[in-house]
Amino acid sequence: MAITRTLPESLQNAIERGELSQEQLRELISIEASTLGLSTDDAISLARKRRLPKTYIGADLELLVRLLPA
Amino acid sequence: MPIEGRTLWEACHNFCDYLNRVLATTVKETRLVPIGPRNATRLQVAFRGGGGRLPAALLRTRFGPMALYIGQLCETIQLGDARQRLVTVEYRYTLTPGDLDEAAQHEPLLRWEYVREPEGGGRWCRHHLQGAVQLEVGREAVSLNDLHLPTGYVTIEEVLRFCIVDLGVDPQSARWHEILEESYERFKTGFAPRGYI
Repeated sequence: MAITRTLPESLQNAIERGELSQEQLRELISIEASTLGLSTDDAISLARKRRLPKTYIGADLELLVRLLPA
Repeated sequence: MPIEGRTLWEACHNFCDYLNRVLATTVKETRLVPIGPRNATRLQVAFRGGGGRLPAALLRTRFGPMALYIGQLCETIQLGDARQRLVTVEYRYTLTPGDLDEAAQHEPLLRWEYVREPEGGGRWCRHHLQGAVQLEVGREAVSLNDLHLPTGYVTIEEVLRFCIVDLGVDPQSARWHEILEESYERFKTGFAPRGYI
């Protein structure tokens, strides 16, 4: 299945600036989670246990989740 | 010269600017970008240039297309003179055969990882290599994904060198070897605060 290649423009702009709000960070996590067929909450839970699929998306998600408040 | 700044953000931007110059003159002109919440005490660095939702760089190797993922979590340590020095607290470097879409669905062939402080009492090697590689261990078939092969701290420079020398990626400049050598030496002598990796 082809993956949608671009992020929403508002999120792209935030990433260009670097500073994301908590909502934008969760939005990015949600987008990557959906790529893995996971809900946001499931992805966060699995990331904290280091049990995400071992794809590069999973690797990126694990690091992104570590930016969330504990 | 260590990577420093007045703030975590400044140090991280300096780090990415530096790495992007190395990347553009060796393997690929795809930008690493720091992101994180505004008052973050740590930031993430990964390929996010160009608005794409796939945080990887596509390489043309002698084995076909391959997705390179470089990700780090960075914090800073406070220096006495109101400056902060960057430290890497986690990294993930992966190489996955296929174009970016295809590679996003499959386990990487090779995955270098470092976790400064494993949670939950994990006692595996903090710097390790895993991957979708089958090994024969005695009479058993074991996946490298089920082991934590110790590696020592693997630098981005060494991964880029692997891409050029072993995977056959065409280097972006004739000085790629010198650039990686110089960058590696800078890391060894300046970037890595002793006791933090």
